[in-house]
Amino acid sequence: MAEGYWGNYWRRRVSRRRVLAGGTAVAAGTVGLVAVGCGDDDDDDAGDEDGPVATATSAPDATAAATEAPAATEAPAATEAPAGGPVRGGVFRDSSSDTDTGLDPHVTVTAHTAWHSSLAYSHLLHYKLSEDRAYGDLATGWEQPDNTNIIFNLRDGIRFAPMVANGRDITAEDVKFSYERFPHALENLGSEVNRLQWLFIDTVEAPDAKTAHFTLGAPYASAIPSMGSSAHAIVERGITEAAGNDLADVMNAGGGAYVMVTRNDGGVYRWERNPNYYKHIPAEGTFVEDGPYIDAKENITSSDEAALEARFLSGDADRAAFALDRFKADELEGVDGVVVYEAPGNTNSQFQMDAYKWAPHPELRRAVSLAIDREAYIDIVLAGEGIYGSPVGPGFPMVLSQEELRELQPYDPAEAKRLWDEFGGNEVFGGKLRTVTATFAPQPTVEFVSRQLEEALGITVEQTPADLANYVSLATEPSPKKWDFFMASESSLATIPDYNGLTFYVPTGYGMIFGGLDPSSEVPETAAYATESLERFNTQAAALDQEERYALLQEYQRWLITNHCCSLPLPVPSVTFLAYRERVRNLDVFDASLGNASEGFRRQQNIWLDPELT
Amino acid sequence: MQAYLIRRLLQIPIGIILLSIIVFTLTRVLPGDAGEARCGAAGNFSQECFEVARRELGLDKPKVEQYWIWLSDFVSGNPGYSSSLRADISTELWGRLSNTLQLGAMSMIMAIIIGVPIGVLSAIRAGKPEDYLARFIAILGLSVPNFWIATIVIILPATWWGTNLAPEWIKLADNPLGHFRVLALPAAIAALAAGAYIARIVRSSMLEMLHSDHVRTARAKGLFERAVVMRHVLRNSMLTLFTILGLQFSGVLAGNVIMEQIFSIPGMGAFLLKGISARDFNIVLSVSTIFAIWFMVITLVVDLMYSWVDPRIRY
Repeated sequence: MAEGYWGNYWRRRVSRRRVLAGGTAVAAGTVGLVAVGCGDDDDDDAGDEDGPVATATSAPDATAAATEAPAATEAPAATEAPAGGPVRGGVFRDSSSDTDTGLDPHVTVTAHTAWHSSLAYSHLLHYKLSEDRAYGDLATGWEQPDNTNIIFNLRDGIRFAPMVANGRDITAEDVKFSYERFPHALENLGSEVNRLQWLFIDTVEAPDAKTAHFTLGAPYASAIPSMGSSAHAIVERGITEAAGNDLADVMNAGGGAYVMVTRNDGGVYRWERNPNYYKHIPAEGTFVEDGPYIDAKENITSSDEAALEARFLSGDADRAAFALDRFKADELEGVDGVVVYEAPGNTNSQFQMDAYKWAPHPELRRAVSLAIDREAYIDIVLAGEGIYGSPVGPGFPMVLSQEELRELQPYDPAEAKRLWDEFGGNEVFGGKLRTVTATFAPQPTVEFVSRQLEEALGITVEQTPADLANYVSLATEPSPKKWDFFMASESSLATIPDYNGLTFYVPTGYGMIFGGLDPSSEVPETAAYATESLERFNTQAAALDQEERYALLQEYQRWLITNHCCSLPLPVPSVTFLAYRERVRNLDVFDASLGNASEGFRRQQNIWLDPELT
Repeated sequence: MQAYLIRRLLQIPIGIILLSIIVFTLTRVLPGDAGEARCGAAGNFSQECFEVARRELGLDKPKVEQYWIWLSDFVSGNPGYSSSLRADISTELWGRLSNTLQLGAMSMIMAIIIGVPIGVLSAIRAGKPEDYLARFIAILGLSVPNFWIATIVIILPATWWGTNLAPEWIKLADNPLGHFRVLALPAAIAALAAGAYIARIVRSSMLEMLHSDHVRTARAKGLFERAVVMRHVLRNSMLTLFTILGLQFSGVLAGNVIMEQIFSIPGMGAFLLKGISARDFNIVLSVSTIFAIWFMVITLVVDLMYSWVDPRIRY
């Protein structure tokens, strides 16, 4: 399945004419002139020469389920290294629009904390999404005597940074403390996120300084990938407790490859090499024997896109941290010292409903799904470079094929109208649907879907503008909510591979928080649907046999899509563009594009800077 | 004069309190608050989280009490706790105020340097090509938005020559020269519109003076044209200019919100935007109030300067 997707991806090319047509339509859509159904997919030129500038090449071939330490596999090709090999030294200069949301590595949500967690903290494992494989970081290896026990052996010579507890050794007690702290790190805020990621672990024991014994509450196929997330940073107990169990303002409390030396000095964040960092012998994954090649990393923050672009173009930043689409990528392609990479997209996009209102009306849910022309969505909203969405992100091996997704999500406005009228859509919703527009869903997306529903169903869609703060308030209010649907999209959640987009569909995740998918709902249909969905989710999560699990996950996707409750997958971009300065060598393009903020180039230690180039 | 001054000084706190009440009310009317923003940033969307955060931030108290706490803190020089900074606002506020005032002062100086000569030239060469050119430049400066000019000024040199004109922020204490070099470009861009406006005001004011009786008399006395312009026309036009400068300085401060954002200058404008996006009402209230105080003080100073510029004016 995965090979089909990646293979198709790399073979696929989109003609410039189609891209331009799509882009024009996007522009038109933003001024309210979106014309439903005007897309044309007849000219999908497979052999067009206007292809990507540079690409990574290898496909992931493993699964999320890991029951023993994996054997070495071939790493995906990174950017080409020049003769002479890696060079140590240099400062990687990033520039981003990140907002300082604190430095606690267990606050997992933002790119800002991901930066810090990836650099200043070490972890038990490093999960590489591109290879679907975990590498030992502090752990030299692990064994699973049965389905609910995992025993990690810690390597020798692992220490905290010099300013952290005088650089003492990191022991299994620290692993235990950190993993036990993680679910509670947001407790004073009543957070659900960490607890959900942690639920599968029952106890952590440290029988000796070098052994960490994890007991799972139930067999969990994605235990190892989940534990390899950068969110599971190993923190020092004394410093954490001295800070009142809040590391938001603590610059160093770990033993990562770097130590933070500057925090927000006029927007500049800087990390320098940790002299206490261990030797990773033998080198594996992105780990290098003597620690990372790059001496220091900087993140210069700016909230202005033009300033970010100017920094990158002038060589003051090594990574393009501004929005990159096909057109911008084409522009950058001609700039000296810049390398543009095209990689597969791995985004989820959902039409989220309030289950309280929609669960009792299966025909109306189906009418909504039939009213959305996904082909036109791809042509117009995604400028021709999109694929059908599924509850599982397109980068994961268990995702349904495009052919099947197309069949499962037909466009039939006449049938949609018939169902809507016959089953009293206007009576149920008063002739109008209300939505919330927020930064999570670009305006063209909301405009496009709203117009389609209006035209197909003969209703009015009322939009309530929202920013982050009132979006949260509106989206999470108890059901019945003030809105009937909203749209959300985000990159792959690499920290919890099973979950990924599924979180929007299940009662243990955003499906509950946003969609009111509550097994104890007072609405019997909502409760029944939520219960069945939860059972299916739990069944696949407990299936340790890879083939069985994939089959269950695929069946689960079919069930979710054909029930239309209470999220509908929307098409997602098929490509992602990245641009780096030429001097950045050995970049793992796959992880830089596939992984979310907690993975990718931030944790890649074998990336290096060519001193001959700018 | 003394009575006038006392009366005006007394108006300031009344104005401040009224304005802060309006801003306070508006921020509370908006959906969403700092509690929700904090939970949202942590990926937590539960009502329990909102309630805990609101309690910690004192947002569960009665509105009048919330306002009184803020006002008391503000008057004491420490305008309360910032939920987004997770620290007292004063830790950032005064440094940012200093940066904004420096940027504003530089903008105004540049605006005067640009605007006054162009206005004078345009007035004394009225109807001639120099006048048309000066007026064209002034209208251009007024009609092209600052943020667009800033974007172009940043992007084009970076694209053509690989030169970044928006370097990272440098503190005054670390490198004074570098600090003012960073401020120079945004100040110059902000000065374009202000300078254009000043040029137009100077021109119209001077044209009025040039046709007045006392100027005709001065010329009849045989004074050189330069002396007529500098001593009898320009000085008398200053009254209008002072009024405009006062308003412009306040306007530049507010207008520099965008400049600060684009050039990553840690000033009051960027602080205000941060406060708005994080629903950090203490920041919003404090920055708005400081802007208001600034505006009122500048207006008072301008009014007082009238009598200095034109001794006929008495309060």
